[in-house]
Amino acid sequence: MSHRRYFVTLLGLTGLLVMVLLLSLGLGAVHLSPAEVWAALAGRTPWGETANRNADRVTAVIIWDFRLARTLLAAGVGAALAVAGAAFQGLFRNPLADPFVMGASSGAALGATLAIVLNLTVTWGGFGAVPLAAFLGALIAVALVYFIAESVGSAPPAIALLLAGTALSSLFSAAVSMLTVLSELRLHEVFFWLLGGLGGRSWPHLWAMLPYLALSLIALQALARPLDVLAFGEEAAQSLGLEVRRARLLVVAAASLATAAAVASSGIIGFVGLIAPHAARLLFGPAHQRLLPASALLGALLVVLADDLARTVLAPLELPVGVLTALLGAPFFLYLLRARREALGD
Amino acid sequence: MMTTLSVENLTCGYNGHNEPVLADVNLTARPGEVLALIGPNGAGKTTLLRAMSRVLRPQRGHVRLNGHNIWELPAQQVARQVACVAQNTRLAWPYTVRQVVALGRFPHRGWLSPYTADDRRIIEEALNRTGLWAFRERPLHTLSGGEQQRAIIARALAQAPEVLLLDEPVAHLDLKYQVTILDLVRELADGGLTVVVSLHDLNHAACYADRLALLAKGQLLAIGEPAAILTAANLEAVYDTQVVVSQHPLNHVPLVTPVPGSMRRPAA
Repeated sequence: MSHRRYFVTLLGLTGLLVMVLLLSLGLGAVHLSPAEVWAALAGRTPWGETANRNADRVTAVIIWDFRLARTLLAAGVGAALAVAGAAFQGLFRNPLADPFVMGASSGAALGATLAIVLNLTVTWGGFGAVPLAAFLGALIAVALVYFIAESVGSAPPAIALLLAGTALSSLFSAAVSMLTVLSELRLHEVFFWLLGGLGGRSWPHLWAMLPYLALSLIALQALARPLDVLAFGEEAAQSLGLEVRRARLLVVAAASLATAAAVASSGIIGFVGLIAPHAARLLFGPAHQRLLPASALLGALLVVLADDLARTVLAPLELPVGVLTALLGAPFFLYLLRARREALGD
Repeated sequence: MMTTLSVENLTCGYNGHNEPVLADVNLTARPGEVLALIGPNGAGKTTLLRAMSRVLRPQRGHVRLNGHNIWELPAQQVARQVACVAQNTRLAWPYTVRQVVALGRFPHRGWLSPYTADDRRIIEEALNRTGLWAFRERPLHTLSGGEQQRAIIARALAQAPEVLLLDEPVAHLDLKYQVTILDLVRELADGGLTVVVSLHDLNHAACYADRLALLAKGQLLAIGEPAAILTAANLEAVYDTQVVVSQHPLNHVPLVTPVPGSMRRPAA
């Protein structure tokens, strides 16, 4: 694909995402037309009202205080998970890798469950104990997996990471199950959190996750060429002059930061990080310099759409968005498997 | 660009195994020569090449690039001078041939520097030299085995190396590709490159190499010109197989022919 076609397609996807975002803002208990959404958006900025006062006050409150932050957060979570998934697939040379291969989800789940079961009431920067515990749980789990795998030393390092990740994930999941069983009363709350959702999220959540997302996106983009070199395998990468250990540590750190930020904002939303990179690879080829931004856009689109469905299909009841990403994602994934085998790897 | 790669008292092994895979090997590969590593399966040829390419850390001894211990040089600096073509390359994703070859510029450009016009010229030259220009936009895995091997050699050429290490570059290839690839290797050495190549086919080694290093059970048994190494006595001892060594009709290097069981002379 030529540079020109790549940028045109990427621009097209960005336009599509903006359109979907605008339409999403109109969806909900009070239906708003795109024109009303636009007027409300033009009537204010995050820093206060503008001179444009055509917008209806109620509409402005619905858009600015309820829907905008949530929709943008959905996009951010999708982008974070997709980019982390693309990075882990590249690092492990494995089409089945996702943001959670190194135990980030089970670590986050254990953190969140502990916070719920122990009834922790710590808050920090407008956050409750659950997202904080999830964020720390995810990062601690990944760090544990990394240091265990590095200290084993006999298996090839990437495989040691995968194996340690699987083992520790099972351990953490067992701990989560045990804790939930022991505290029946809070079972529903834990279960609902684990399924992932964006209900009730607002500006503080968005502002809190954005720095991590930005940092991860920039860091992983800088790691695009090392990820390409790693596609030949670790030995060949080293003989091409890549300091494999350093590159691996940086990929793990950047991708895990994105994952932890996403999980802390919305619980565990599955499938996005697996599927968005594959779709991006189909559209733009495997070179990471193009794959990573494209994955972020597609991941954002997927989660925004899933969240739209989550809050409209059974309104006023809200479905966990993780259920919707799997419902949308699994058939699409099977289609990819069938239609374009080669894009999922050789 | 006269680069010598030498191995001093090199001993290599793998964790958990007591027997070293290579024991006390000494040799020097010189600019402009093709040094062929020969020997039976398990002799240590691949291990020696991995150690020489700064992938496998020796247990004892050193690999020196123009006198410098390669493990005291950064990987990137070594990769600017030494390129390596491994026996099997399995690429995780469907990169095109051009993308594969372009990654040969990685040691020169690092993580972030964009490719220059110079890089593009070198990449195109490598594609042309290996006859892959017409295949440049094809995903690597859609090519035949011989073409894929040439693409990996093209990647090595894009590194603009001074030393080229090749592990069984013509295994599994048909006659035509065997000859094209070995001709190319010879041509590169004649242009001043230092080439170390492991070969199974002794006649390939005789035709294309200036010197042969005969390895068996992790030891370097002999090193020298083909006529000195490819003797019936040497080969029968190492391969445990009867051979007849005659002369190649065209270039008069040794020609090794195995003796079928039905024609064997009785054991003495």
